[in-house]
Amino acid sequence: MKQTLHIFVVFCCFQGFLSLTCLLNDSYAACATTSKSCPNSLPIILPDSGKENSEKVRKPAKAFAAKEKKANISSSLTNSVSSERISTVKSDPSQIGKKQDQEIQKPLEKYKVWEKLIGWKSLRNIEIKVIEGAKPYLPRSIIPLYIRMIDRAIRFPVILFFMMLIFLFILNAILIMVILEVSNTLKNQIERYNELYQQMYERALTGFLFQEYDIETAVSRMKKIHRRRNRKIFVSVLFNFQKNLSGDSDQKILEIFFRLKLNEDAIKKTKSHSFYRQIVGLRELTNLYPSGALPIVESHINDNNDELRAEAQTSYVRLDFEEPFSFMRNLRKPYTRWTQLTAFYIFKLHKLPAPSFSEYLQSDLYNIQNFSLRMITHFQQKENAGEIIKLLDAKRDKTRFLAIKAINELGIQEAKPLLKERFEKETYLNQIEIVKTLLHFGDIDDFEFLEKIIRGNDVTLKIEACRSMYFMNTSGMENLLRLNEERELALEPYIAHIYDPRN
Amino acid sequence: MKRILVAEDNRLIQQTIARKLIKDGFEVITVNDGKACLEKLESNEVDLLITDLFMPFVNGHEVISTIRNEWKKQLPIMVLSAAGSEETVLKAFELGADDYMVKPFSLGELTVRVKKLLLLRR
Repeated sequence: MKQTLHIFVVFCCFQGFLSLTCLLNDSYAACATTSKSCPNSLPIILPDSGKENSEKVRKPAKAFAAKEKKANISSSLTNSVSSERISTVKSDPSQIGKKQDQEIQKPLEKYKVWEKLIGWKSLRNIEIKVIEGAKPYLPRSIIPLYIRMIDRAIRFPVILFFMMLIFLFILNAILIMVILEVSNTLKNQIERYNELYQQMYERALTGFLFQEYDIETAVSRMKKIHRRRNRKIFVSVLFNFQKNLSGDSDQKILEIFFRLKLNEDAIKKTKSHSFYRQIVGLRELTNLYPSGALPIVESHINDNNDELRAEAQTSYVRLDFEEPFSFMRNLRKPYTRWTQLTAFYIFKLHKLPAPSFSEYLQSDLYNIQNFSLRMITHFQQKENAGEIIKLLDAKRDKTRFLAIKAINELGIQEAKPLLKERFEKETYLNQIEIVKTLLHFGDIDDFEFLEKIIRGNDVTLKIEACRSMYFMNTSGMENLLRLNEERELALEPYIAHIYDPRN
Repeated sequence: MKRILVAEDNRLIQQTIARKLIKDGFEVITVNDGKACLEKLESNEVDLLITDLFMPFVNGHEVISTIRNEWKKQLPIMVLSAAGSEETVLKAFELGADDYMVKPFSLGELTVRVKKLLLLRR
């Protein structure tokens, strides 16, 4: 690393030196030409232009300042700025005319950065705008100085610009290298420290787990365990054990967790002002001290912070084995989809017994109702039929959609008349779902209902109605084929579509 | 004394298993990845292999496949993995694993299964 740094710095310096040399050679050559042929070249920029030149340049500057004093600069500024040099030439009878003046200006322009970059016209426009724009806000005494400053900035030489760029580049490269080196060293040191203490704690813990020595000896072998940083390392070791080992080790882990008063640390973290530390505390308690974690987790179920609330809700599912979702009874804040998914994942991972979700269908929160409907459908809890049918009156379209889906998948036939009755008032998606339910528990009585849809104009509804009728039973299939004979209905493509096994 | 090779990239679990097996009277060799596992198997006589599935360089499935299909070895193989999906378990058995334990596992159960496997292969 150090070698790379040195090589890079030397390379940068060498590059910078080379570029500087090239540019200086170029500029001195040009300066020589300029100072000889251009008596009114810019004295501030070209150091070797001499006294004579500076005297001659002061003239147009004074004339310009005088013009400024006479006011109406804003209206005449375009002309004054652009004709500055021309007027200089004209005012001096010893000058050699317009043609020569243009020749004189050429080498000068070569060293103007902005002119090179954006062109003469644009440069002039910008100069005018900058001066005019600032004028109303500046005191009169400062205006000439301001104009001179703008002028200087615009006539800034390329050589200085590039020198500055090279210098900044080298400085930047060195700074980055130093930062990288320092951060890398720090990172390595932290890693080495963590590794060292992690190994030490692992040895002490395994020794205790294999009953090679008692808890006090194990603790005495854990150097610097009182430090906050080291306690964090030790907790990560405990997590690793807990994640991979089961059986007797759980009790031993709990024993050492209490001996080191890590439970107190975790509880303290849950009372912290930082939500992140609170989450860490909740996680430690849930994984390493499950029996004592439940009341603390419960107190964060309705927390205002979304992340903390999600963590508490997910932890609750792990902690309450008998009723993992009972926290939903007291939930006043939204139960997000992501938290629902995480809770469901944990629920499946720990192979917990599925509780009845019927009571949660009466919740005031629509996301709890939706989650419960999904769970009822997943676990096939048909005993909740009555509660599901009630949700056909729910305010939200999505809840009604999930209720229709649950009715369809659980085969709740008693809901059929109600579904047909609600069909016209339902949303488009819910209408499709209602038609789909008839595929599973429709009969001859529903032919009229489906025929009405088939005679309608909506393609998706027609497809689903044809599918429901075709696959309902043999009489449904015959009825659809009879309808197909009516040419104006043009059912051929619909039947071909539903009959295609790819659909 | 029976020699057991433990291929596991989690150092803590590797050392814990090794410690437990040594305590139960086995000789244990440990490796951190699949590549080292195959090298050790080539150069050492081993009576049983305990391997993780997700390891650096060469994964557990490839290790089992090499042992069974290329070397045609009848070495007892026990898989120890956090992946407990039916698909993963079936794949391991199809490739030639003799036993499969899902993490978190009990150390006591591990020893019993190891002894049983060695007894069956005798």
